[in-house]
Amino acid sequence: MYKVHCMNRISQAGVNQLFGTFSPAQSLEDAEAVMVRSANMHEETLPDGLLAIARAGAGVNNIPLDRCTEKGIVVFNTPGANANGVKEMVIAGMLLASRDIIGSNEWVREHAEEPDIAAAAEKAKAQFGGGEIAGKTLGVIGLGAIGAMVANAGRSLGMHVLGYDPYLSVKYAWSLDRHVHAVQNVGEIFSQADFITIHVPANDKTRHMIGRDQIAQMKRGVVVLNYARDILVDENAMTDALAAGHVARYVTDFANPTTAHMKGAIVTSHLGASTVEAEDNCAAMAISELREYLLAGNITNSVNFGNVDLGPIETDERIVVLHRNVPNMIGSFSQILTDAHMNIENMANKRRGEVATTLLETSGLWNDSVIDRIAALEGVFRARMIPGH
Amino acid sequence: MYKVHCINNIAKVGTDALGENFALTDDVANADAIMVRSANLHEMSFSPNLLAIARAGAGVNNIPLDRCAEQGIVVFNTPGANANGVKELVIAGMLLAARDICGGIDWVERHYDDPNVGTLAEKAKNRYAGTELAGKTLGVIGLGAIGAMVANAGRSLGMHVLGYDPYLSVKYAWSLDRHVRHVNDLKEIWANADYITVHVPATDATKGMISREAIAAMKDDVVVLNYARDALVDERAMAEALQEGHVARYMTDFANSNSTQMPRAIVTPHLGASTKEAEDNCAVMAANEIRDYLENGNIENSVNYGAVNLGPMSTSLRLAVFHKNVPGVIGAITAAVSGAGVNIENMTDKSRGDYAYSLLDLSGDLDDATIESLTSVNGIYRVRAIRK
Repeated sequence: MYKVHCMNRISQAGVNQLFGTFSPAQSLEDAEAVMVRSANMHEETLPDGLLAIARAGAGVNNIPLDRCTEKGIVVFNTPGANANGVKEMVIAGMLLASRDIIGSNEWVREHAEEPDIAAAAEKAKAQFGGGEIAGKTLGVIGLGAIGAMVANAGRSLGMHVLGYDPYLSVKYAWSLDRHVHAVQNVGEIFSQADFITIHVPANDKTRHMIGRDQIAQMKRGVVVLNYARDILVDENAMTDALAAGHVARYVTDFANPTTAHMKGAIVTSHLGASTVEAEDNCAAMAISELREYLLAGNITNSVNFGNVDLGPIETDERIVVLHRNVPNMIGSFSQILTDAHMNIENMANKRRGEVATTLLETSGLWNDSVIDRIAALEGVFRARMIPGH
Repeated sequence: MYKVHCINNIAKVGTDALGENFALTDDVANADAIMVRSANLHEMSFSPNLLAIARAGAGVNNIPLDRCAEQGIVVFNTPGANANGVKELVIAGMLLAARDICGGIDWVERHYDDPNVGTLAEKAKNRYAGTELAGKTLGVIGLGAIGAMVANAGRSLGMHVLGYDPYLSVKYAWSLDRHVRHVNDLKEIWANADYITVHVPATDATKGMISREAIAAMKDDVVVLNYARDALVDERAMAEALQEGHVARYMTDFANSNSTQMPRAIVTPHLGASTKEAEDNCAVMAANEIRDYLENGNIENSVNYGAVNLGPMSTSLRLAVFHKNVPGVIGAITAAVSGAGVNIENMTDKSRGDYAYSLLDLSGDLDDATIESLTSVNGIYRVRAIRK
């Protein structure tokens, strides 16, 4: 039984699932797999026996990815597990930006002791009135798990929806309401949308993708929603646009000294994935990723190695090799197996940037020395044999 | 040229919709029709010229309906024109009840000057965490214009939806998502729903329908939403249920001395229809009602007379007769018309409670004396001749 260490508390449902398959490790040192949420692992020593780290959540800034790759540790995350939780926040954000529900509720609390508050409310309410979202145009930038759900929700609430995603996958394309209009140029979203929401990962290319120039192209009175990552938006430019009245509302889940001071911003305290369901989904997904990898060598949703899946193990053993993506690796594996009089029945290989994953299913009399020989090859991070059932 | 007087500020798209046969007037005594929003008309006396009052909105508590009926003044409202506005507030209400978004915003506002607000937020956020709507059960009581939209929105957000409406109309039945499950007993809603929202008018029959017994029958941690009328909920029982923690949240659009004192109630100051779109829709709908009534005698969405529609004018004279809903009146009308040697081409009559309305397309004209004699028939309030 593989030993798993939890760096953060996980839900009881998660614990029950996890320890049906695995046993608890005494410490990180002792662990073959790790479950983590937001605990910072950058300063941790990673033991040689550690095979995998599963992050219950999307962001992996808390995990030393390069170090994991060099040691042949597969790091997983759980994209999409919190998608509905974030989607519901985005809908709430649009509605709170359209009508000043928050301000009106504050007004009621301030006037709670007024004897004829009902009559006073009828007079006061005009200042909190606003618009509806039905009939407005929503621009969704990034149509992954979250963006696709947001786009569909916009449609079902009667909005016109424009979607932009140059890397749109078949899976999410298929899930999209057919009335979501795909635009080829993100500028169409800036010039047409009344509400703009971004759902892309934060990287060097997407940093400040909502910058001064992009905001300048937007319609006056636009509402911008950011439930993805704060660095996607140039916050100084946003502060200026709000002050000038060009952007009506900036709705963001990222509290920092800049957003907290913006006039006209609605700032929540990173609540996008803060639901029981999202936590349960993340834990369940992380556990199933660990189970597949540890017991069958299959990789889905890794952030440092390519995804491979040969299904359940059908032969006596399966070999998992994590290696550099350099020429002749597969040739070397196959030579070693041939030398040991073993045949390759099934194989899958997937590269990801500089590294690659290879799964091999073999037949013939097993010889332990093949794992040692493969592991000793230059460029191989780790080789592991999983017995079939 | 018909003259319309606006008592409240009516959206321009509405007055524009009246069309070329209409002009606005500042002189109410001279007006054929009044457009009104919430102004109180109970103390107002109506001139004999006045034919119609259109309320841009749903509630007509501000209008003396019976007095109008007896003067042959048709009172219209605009049901459904604000339905989407209310629906969106109900969705917001459910989302604000599911996760403490208001609390999260408050927290950020209180810590806005802290240089570590981002790191602190990560620690504080658990307090504002909650649940999702998808997968939960929503009970909708009343499936009219608003309730039907709310039920469909619940479905599209991944909820299981139970709908209750003993008076469900074909129109709204048709508009409902087929996965909304129709229940015949409110007990099924009390027993199964995680969210319960009411969309029924306030009448003697519905007053206090969310009663102590009803609340006791609900699931623990239920969320109750009231964007209809405060009188529908027994507020004292609700306050106690919130205090005990049986009801997790009471979301209401009615601020009053009870609701503002309730723990874990989120109260808004009657914002349900406070959107530009709802105001525009109400004004356009009110204008269309006035126009079709003044030009053609057709009545739709009246609250004191029945709905009657003979389409556009097809003969040179259309006769509209307002009368008491008693035997013999229709006989008197037809006798007077045939006595004048004129044939009835089309006729329709609709009663509503004590009052009834007859609309007749006639093959020829009637002289003033005949119309005058009809007006004096016992039980007839008003006779209106509409000429092409």
